[in-house]
Amino acid sequence: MERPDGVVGRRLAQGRDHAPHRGPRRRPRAGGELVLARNAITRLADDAADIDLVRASQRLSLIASELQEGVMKTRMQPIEHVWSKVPRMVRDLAAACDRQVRLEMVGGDTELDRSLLEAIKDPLTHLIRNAVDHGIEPAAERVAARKNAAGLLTLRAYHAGGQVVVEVIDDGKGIDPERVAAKAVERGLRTARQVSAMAPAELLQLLFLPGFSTAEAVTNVSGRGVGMDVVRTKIEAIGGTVDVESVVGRGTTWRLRIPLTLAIMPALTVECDGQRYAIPQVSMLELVALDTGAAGAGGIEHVRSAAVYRLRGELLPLVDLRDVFGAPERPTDASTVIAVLQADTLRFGLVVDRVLNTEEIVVKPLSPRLKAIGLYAGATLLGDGRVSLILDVQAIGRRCMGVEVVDAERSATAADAVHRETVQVLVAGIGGDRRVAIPLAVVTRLETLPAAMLEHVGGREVVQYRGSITPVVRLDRLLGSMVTDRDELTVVVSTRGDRSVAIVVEEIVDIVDDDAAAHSDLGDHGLVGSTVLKDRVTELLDVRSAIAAVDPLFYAEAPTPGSGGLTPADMVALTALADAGAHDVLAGGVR
Amino acid sequence: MSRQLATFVLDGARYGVDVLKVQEALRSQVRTPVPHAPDGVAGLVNLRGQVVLTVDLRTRLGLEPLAADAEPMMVVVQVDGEPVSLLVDEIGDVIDVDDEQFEAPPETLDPALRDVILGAYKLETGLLLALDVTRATAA
Repeated sequence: MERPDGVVGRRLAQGRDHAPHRGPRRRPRAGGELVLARNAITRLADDAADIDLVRASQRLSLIASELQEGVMKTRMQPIEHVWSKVPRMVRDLAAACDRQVRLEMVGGDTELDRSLLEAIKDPLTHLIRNAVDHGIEPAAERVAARKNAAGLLTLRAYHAGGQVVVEVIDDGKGIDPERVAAKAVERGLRTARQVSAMAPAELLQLLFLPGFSTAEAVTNVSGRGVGMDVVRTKIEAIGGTVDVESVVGRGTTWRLRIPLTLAIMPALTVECDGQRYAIPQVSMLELVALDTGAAGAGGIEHVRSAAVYRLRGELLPLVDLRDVFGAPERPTDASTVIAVLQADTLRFGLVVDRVLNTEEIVVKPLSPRLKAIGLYAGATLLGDGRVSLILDVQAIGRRCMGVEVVDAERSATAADAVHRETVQVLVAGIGGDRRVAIPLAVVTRLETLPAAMLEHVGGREVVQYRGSITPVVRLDRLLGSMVTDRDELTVVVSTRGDRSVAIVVEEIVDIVDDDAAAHSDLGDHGLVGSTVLKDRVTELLDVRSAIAAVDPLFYAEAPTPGSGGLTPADMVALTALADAGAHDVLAGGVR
Repeated sequence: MSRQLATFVLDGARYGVDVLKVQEALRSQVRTPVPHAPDGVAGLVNLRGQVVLTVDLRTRLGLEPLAADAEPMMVVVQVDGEPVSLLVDEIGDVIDVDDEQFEAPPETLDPALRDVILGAYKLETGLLLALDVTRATAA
């Protein structure tokens, strides 16, 4: 398992280890200051009419970038410097834990800032210990599970999107989300009610809570109470993230995402209530500018009090930065921009007033007195010399969404649906004090239309909706409820491909989690059963037959990707397919 | 034993801090507010490339805020190796005081203030209140 000599030779030839250590900390700071000064001058030159000044500033900008790059390069070291001790460590661990472990290391030449290498050493060691001790099973157990007696531990490093990703992958027994949930309840970290509402991916996130350890037996190697929370804290301290994926029986992947360097990072500056804030580019997915006044078309919608935005057919939960800061409401005529952010597995939209610029910012440490607030990752100086706070996207996401967060992205993936016992449903009143639940997955939009828009094609009611003729389902008539005529129709639009159906309800009540286990098969024509939601008996709408009644071709056409118009039945079918595929791939990989 | 205190004025009263803790005194600068910061935190300022926390002593000491048009001054002190800027009304002289002139704060002082005011030096020109910088800047 020792590294071939050639590698060591190359490392020495690079000679970075022998670079003089004089003032290694001073250099990047000066580099950072240079970037700041460059930013300041660029800003001044932008406002200036003097063409020579603009040219000089552009030249300075170029040189500063080159110099910055050069300075950074001298600090970069391949990650194999940290990995070099891993083979020995794994061998010792395997012997101590009585495991057979094969080690593979991929991408050892991936380079990282020296100070960051230092910082990830401990977390990496912890993850490796954990993988050998708890991940990989004893040989006998593996053979019984028809796996190779020797477990495979893979370390992989690669560059991705301005970050370095380091993965610790084992093909061991995996982490059972149910056990994680049980443990979290037992430790009093979450209530049984909370965990029952969580998706498996969210349950695995509980591993990072302080005071969590699933190790049943405390061994010499791990399970001494120093848990994944320490790993997370250490990685987040250097601006990185940790996440975990696991399939029971097949293995676990721990993934560290680490910024290339500490000193400087690209960030987006935004304005909120007259103040400027920086959002690390790493967390940014995209920006959505909202047309003011056009709230009806593509604006912010509300599910009760929770603001959401429909981003290409998926509901994106929104957090208004003004609300986070307790700032006054945004004037209605003010511009609004949604920054779509990714934090851990949460995806959410941060609503800000204005986007200003992308800038390379130099991270300045924040006074410890302000760290407790937990909303800021640091501070920086902008081009005009003013201090600006760097938002801690993870913390804001966690704080504003808590455990109730619906991981929009993950819930849409088929793989998730199979484990998921709870499905989000839209609860609507249909008159006569009756309530029906419609799976949120089939809901594309909620609209209020004037009743005058109803027209007839033959015996059917239709509306012109977004330029096409859309058939209308009257739930009150379909389900034989009391019919009340109104001037305005509350409509749930379901879209699949380019076909839409408008389902008329009396009122939208709420969006809640529906636990499939609590279902009763007590139903009627047009229903698939009933359940109790929010202490009220709620009928479960048979969406498929309700829609097919007015548009038999609705399910005939292949949906366009990302239309989000899958029924739960479709999802399960897809899941089965995806699952089967995954088995084959994994099985092939193990052999 | 005698020591030197850097003095400043808040709402007409004179306060002093150990001169060795004072880094500099300067005009106030543009402050960046910090939402959800503890009471008394007046924002962050850029002090020659360093981001420095500013504490409004008036708020800390339970005094009325300074009039909107008045411009406060900043006294930058070192607390636990970190510079912290204190907002004050006016900056005074550095004064030599003697331990014999010192007296603990009176029993009648507001308990919230007893925490941050070490005591008073009885000078001929009036009382000089000694401030506990660490406590006054604690969140």
